[in-house]
Amino acid sequence: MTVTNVDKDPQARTMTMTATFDAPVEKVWRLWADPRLLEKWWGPPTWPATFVDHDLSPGGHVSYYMTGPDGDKAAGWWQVREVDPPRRLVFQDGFADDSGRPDPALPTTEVTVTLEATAEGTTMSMQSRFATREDMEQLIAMGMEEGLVGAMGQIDAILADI
Amino acid sequence: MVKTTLRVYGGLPGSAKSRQEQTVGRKTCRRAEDHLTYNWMVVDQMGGGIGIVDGGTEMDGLIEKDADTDRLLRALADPTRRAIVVRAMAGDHSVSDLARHHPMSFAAIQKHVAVLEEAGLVTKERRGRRHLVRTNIEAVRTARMALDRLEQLWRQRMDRFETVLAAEAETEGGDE
Repeated sequence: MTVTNVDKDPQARTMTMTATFDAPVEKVWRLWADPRLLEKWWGPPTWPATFVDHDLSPGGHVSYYMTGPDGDKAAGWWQVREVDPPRRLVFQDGFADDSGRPDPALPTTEVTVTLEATAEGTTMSMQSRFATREDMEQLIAMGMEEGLVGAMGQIDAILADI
Repeated sequence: MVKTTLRVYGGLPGSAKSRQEQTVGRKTCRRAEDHLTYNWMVVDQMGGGIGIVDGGTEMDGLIEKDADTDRLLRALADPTRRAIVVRAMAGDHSVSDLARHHPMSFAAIQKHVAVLEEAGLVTKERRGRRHLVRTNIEAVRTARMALDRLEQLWRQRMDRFETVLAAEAETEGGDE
């Protein structure tokens, strides 16, 4: 099992995930540092990511877009806060508008990645923290809006069968 | 008081499209939907759904309760009322607070709130001279929902992460 622990703290607005990998720290780091490797796992298979900018230095900017099955694009960005290869990476993770500019109307999270060498390989800890309570609630709201419509569709279907 | 669980499944591109048609919204809404579609597809791939839990019974129970179902459906069918439900999750809002966010009269918003209240989706509490509206979902539980979604998103990323890592090790041949 890759993921060994998950800790969620609603008060602190954090989700912390720990995963172990059977590979040395330097190799695990490359999956963050090499955009061609990063895009192999950042987006789901149906929405693969393409990284356009990838500057992993403090203050550096990373931008990417994901392409959906219908050719729709969803853009995202990172603002890099701290980098200490191959051990630590801190970045702000957000959505972008159609022109690739950060969209303040959509929620952002701060991601802290820590790699630690172990006897078996590498332990990677990944903490994702909602910037504000509003960000967290916005993500819920987005899901809820969509979810309610989904539920409505299902109810319609069931009612049509009766 | 309606006791329901809305079992909610991931939106497919089609359902997101139909929502776009329904929404008379700002441009950001449309963009949000693009991400939504993505997010819900992620959830969808997990083979699960996210339940909005408020009480005991499941969808089946909901369908059996015709009168309650009618009320709930009518309450949720309106985009303004959905927006109120979402907004009032973030904390207490007076009816006039809510009215400020919509291009309609205080009286119209008051009617919407009454419909939601009847369906058990919001509660209204008198505080001083104001009536505060609150969505009937515990704050901590809603917080959990957002964190749960993050967890699902990152679990899937970690699975792919491991696959990519293994493939890399293989291509480098003999390297551990």
